[in-house]
Amino acid sequence: MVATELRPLWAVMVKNWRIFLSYKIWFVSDILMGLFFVAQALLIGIGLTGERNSPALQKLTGYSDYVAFAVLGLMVLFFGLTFLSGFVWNVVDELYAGTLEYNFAAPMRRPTFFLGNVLLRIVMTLIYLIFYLVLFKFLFNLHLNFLAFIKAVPVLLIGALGMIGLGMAAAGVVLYLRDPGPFITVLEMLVFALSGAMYPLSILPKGLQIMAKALPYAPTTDAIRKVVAFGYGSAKNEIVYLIVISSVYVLFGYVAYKWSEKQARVIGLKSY
Amino acid sequence: MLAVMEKELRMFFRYPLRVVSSIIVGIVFLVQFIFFGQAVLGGRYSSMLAASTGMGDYPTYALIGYVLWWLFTSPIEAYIFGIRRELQRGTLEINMLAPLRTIKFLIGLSLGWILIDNVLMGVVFLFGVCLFKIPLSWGIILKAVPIFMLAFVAFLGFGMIFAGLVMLFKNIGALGQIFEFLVMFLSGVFFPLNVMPYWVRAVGNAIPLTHAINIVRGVFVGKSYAEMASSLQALLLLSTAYWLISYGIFRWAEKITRVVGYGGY
Amino acid sequence: MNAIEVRELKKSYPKKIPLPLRRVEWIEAVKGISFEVKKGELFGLLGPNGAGKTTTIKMLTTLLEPTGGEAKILGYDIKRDAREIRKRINLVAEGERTLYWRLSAYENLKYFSRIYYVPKNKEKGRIEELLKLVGLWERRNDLVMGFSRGMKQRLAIAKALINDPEVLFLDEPTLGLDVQSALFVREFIKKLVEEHKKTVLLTTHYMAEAEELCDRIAIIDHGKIIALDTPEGLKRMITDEDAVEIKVKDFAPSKLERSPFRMAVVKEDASTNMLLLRGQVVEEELPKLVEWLVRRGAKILSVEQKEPTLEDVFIKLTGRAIRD
Repeated sequence: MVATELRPLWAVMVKNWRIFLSYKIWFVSDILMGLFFVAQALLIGIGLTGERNSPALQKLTGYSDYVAFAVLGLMVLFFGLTFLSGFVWNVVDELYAGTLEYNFAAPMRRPTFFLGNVLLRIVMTLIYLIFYLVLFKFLFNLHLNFLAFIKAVPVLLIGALGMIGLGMAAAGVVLYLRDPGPFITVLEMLVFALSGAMYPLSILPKGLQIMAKALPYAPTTDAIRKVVAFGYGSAKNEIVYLIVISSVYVLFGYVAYKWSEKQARVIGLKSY
Repeated sequence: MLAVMEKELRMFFRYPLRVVSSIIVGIVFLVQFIFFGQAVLGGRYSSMLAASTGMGDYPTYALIGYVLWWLFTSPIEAYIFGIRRELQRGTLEINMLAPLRTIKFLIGLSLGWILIDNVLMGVVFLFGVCLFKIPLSWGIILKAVPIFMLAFVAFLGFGMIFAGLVMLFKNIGALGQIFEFLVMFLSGVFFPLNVMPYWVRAVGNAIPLTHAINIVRGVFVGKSYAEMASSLQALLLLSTAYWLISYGIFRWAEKITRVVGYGGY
Repeated sequence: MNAIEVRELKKSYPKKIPLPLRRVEWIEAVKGISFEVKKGELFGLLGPNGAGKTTTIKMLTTLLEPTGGEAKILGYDIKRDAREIRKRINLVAEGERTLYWRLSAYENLKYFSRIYYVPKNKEKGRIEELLKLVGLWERRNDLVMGFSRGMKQRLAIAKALINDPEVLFLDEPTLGLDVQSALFVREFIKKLVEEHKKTVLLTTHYMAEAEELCDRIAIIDHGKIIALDTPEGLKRMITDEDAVEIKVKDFAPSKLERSPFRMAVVKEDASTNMLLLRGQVVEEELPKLVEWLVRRGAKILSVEQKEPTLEDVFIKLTGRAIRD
């Protein structure tokens, strides 16, 4: 079964890649977005403290280099948003384009279709991230230990599972909304604010902190930052929590996806 | 003109979730940077910032910059998206044929958008004031309002450049957005300009937003208008200059499009 | 063996998404239909918009789950063996936006050949053959975006043949096409059945199309099959009477509801206030009909006798005409 699904999987990836290439401006704006946030972070830091290191941040998080802190957080955030928006937009785009039905009518298994979408996104995001790391190294003289960073990849993968779960749930729901665009934006922004990408969560009001902990993003960021700075030993608590929350979201995503698949067969796909 | 505005308003409020999502985007964007600044500072007061700009409280500093930036960008977006939408619907030519003067039509088209946009901005501003406990008094508000109005007139003229450009090049939405983000770096929205090299500051001084932000920040720390006379003069001067420039560009663009046609989508 | 067997198939849609604990109303779109399609047959579902044709096709192609009844395609049950069915059938869905506009014609077919498990060694040959068959080989590397409506539909048909299906479902295959493209598509469908021995089920609301193409036709209205026969058989239902077309002016069509005659509005021109009425009337009754119309304020512009068509069958059965 796995062997026969490989060709369709590859085909889905190739198709999405071609479609992506036909929107050239996306590429530019994606790259500029990352640059924009990191440059802001650097300039705000220098403008407020005149230094590249912040003792205050060190006390809160253990990181004194605030640019490294922001870069790590933003990279996890971008990676995570891959699943959420990438996933959701993909499905919505196909729905708008009217092509989803032909895909669903084909004998290809449904998970192959979704997996193909996600895999391409992951590959592209990884390329982006490597590009960013090199760019920031030169542009902002970023001090990040690459080895430590690679060490943290398994943690990222655990977190990714939870993010995929959330993305699948969102994709399942979004299929049945009248106007999905703003809903997705609100969700993205929520994740953005609560991911702890640019600031430690402890600075947030209590209620928002709890919400942040309940999404898979901030726990991933926390665990990765700990692992990169201090190694696996001291990040035990964060990792255990991450495993728990990821499992919950995987389960949640699966149930939501099943529900949505059933809905698709009861009420049919919406057409625009 | 009122009819054009009303049409725009109606179209927007048909999707209430859009209103919510615009506000949330605005808020998240703002708090990202303020929280980051606070985390780096370990508090809200920066003596460094106070020394370079006269205002040490970072949340106030950033909120003022952000709100004015919003005010600055809304005419640009209004012109770009307003005209582009009309082009897409194929109704631009019909509207241009109507006895209404073109420039009036344009302003009507954008005022609806600007009005909505600024109401959203107001919501975000109030949210920021409450969240970060910004000290605000009636005196400050009364003193800031004329500056906002003056700034708005300047921004309206500045944005009109884009109305001309969009008629010439049609698809400049992405370009417009890149420009808006670039301005954040040039005008000292979230950080003081003294960290930037000299030439960046020179470019920044040619943008009315930079001066408007300076004046409003001055009002918040209790400076009198007289103390900020140079910034006020600069704002007035730029305002006049941009109205003339953009009007020229627009007339020229209009003449060219009459020759080559409006072009549809 | 029959290619398609449908027994008492039913489908209801919820008015809102049925969340747990939410009471929703259901609307019955297909109210228990039964029919069989033999192998190699060209079978038509004819009916007005909203009659339940598309819903039926979506159920048979396993995209929608029926609320009741059962159906078998090539002996496979549509509920239990969805994947087996999908491998052996294909469909052309209604509408223009069904393919990837940002891919070329060739890339589209390559994509679909892979998600339909076309063997690797056959892929290239099959795509080339199909593109030539529908006359798009010269344009294979162009983006679908730039294609005309007719070309898009031809590509959609090529896509529907990519897995060499035994049964083909076509939902309104000529809707919105220009005359020439529609002609090409109709000739092509005939060829598929005659030369390539495919079984085809198509839906349409064009009388002439159903009459020209189909071996047998099921007339469907309000989710029910109201007649099922060969075109000749259907027309035999009305041969004892003649079809009449009457052009009138200044007449309110609602008045027809209470008339003793089975007449329906075939065409309506609001700007000139003209109506074209059609129905069956025995010769002796014709003067009475004219008198009835005149007494209700109608100005008679012309009266014509016509050869009976399927339109007349539908009017006879429902009292309405099928219109766009």
